[in-house]
Amino acid sequence: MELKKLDKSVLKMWYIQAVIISLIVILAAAGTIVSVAISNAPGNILTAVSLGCGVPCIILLCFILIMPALRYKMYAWGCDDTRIIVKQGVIFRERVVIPVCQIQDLHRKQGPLMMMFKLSDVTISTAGSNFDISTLTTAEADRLIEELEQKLEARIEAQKNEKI
Amino acid sequence: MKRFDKGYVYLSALTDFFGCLILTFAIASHLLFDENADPQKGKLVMPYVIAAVCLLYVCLVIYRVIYYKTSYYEMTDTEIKCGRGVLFRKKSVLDYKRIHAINKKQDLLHRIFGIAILTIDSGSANTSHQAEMLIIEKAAVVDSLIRELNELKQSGERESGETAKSEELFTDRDVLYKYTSKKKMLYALINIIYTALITAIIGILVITVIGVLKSELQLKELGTWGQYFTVALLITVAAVLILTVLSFIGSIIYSFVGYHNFVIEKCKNDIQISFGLLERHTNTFSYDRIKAVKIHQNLMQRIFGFATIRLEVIGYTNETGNNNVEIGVLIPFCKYEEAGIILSKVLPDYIPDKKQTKSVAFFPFVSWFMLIFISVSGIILSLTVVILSILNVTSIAIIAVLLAALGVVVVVCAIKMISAILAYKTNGIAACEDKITTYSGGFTKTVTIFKSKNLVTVESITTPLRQKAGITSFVLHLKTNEMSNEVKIHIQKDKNTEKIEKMLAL
Repeated sequence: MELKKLDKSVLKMWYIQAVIISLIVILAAAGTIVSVAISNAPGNILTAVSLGCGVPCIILLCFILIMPALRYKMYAWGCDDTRIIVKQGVIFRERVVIPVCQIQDLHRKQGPLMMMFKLSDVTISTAGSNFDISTLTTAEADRLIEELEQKLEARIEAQKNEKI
Repeated sequence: MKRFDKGYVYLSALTDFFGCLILTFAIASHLLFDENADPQKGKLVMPYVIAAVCLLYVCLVIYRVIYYKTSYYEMTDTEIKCGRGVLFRKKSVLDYKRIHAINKKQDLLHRIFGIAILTIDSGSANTSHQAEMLIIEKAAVVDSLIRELNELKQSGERESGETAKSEELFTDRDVLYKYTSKKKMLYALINIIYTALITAIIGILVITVIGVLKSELQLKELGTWGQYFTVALLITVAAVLILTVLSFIGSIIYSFVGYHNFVIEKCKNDIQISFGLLERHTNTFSYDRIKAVKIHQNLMQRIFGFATIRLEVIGYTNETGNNNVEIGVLIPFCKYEEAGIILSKVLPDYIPDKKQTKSVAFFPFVSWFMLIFISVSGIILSLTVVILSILNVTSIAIIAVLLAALGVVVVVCAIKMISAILAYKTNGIAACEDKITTYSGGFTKTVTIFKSKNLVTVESITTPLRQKAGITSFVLHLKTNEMSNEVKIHIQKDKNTEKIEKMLAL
């Protein structure tokens, strides 16, 4: 089965998400340092707080800003008549095989940023767990849901005939 | 169309009355007898409090009456209908052949009022946290409803040809297992040893940490070394004794009262499990509805060779959103070697197979944990030392903090190492024809046996280095309750992936 990569716009959206999270982290750290400075704390306490907030903040920012590119590089998915395969993960690489005949419900989800970029998450519910294919273009997500519905019906019909 | 039994209203009115009484006494003691309270002011406020509680009680009674008046259930030729709820109405319709489990619950108060709660579950994954149908009726009516529902369920299954087995597995009503007093005492004994051991270990750790702080910070209030060790030892022994006695009482109550008269019975294709003294449970489900069987061993059970067997049947023991019973217990306590023999009697299709694969390497069990834990601890400790020096904290105090933190890191690493050794020895899979047996866990070991038709998805997880070495970990997703539908088997040969994926029903 040939696996597909995600659309380029997904990377853009993930970077915007990363920038928003980074800004929140920076604001929280800066807010703490400024509030200590305003409260006329001694110089050594200000240095200690700056160090205590600054170092974890820098480490966290490195992770937040590097992850989207790596995540995009590693993400791949594909589906044929009988199964869906999703590969993801940067350090721990997951490969999930979902049989089409085990699908119970299909869902399409969009957040505000996703709406801006015309992207959608597809959630595949099975009798055991839920699995996400994140993040597809809305047109691709609609096409996938329609395709999977047809495949599921055909598969159930084929299984009924096999039983008979 | 029938209403729930009136006993529900009387029982609720009584429990609500006692609830309101306790609330009134609690407020009164706070207003009149509290150290900081003003009794004069309290006496003025009390009549209003009593009026408010009375109003609350009236509202509760009205709520219960409306609940009773609007509740109903109806059995047609093909389905059962049920409606309940005041603010949030819930109407459910369930086809007889879709019934997964039928549970009866009757606690002490229910018995006084002669009522019982019947819950019926369809096994839908979306509603697995709560039963789909709930009927409150007279105990005798509930018993006859259970019989009627079982017959209708079986005839429905026969009509639709859903029953997997062409012949009935069990022919007569027969008792398959009893939880004897001897086993209950053994269970209590193991709990006592476990509590004593854990308390002793914690005691030794605390004595060591305080000892290090005493030597580094020269804490004179702790007396001489001799005095310190004598007092510490006495406190530890006292703690061990007290907690052991409490554990013994708890275990006795849990096993003798909670599992009073625990009986597994078979009747045609149904299995019925009943237990409990104060709260009696009677759970009935079809053999074909079992999704998996889990043989579970905690650390103490592993050491002494005992096990608990649990069942994965969606709906079994699911109650009214209040799960206070161990989910799906089949055998509360037995010898590990006996598990196979018991299962051959009770569930012959679920006898565990011997491991065909085992974990191929030990290092991956600890590598990532050690790398992340030690580097994060290193960064935090270095940062703490720098911050403490900036804050002009004395070098002795910094060393004491460092030693204590290092002690914690060493203990956590040691625990992880032991858990990894156990996991390395435990993890494995056996897959043959239509049955899969998985061995997973570290300190606690779980053997999961399930039919391949209940395997929903296969997930394989690896890292770049493991990929090169041909190693992968599996997560198997089963058709079971949403809380327990994953089985993780670590560090296996990746060529097994293909074999397991072939077992998926495509």
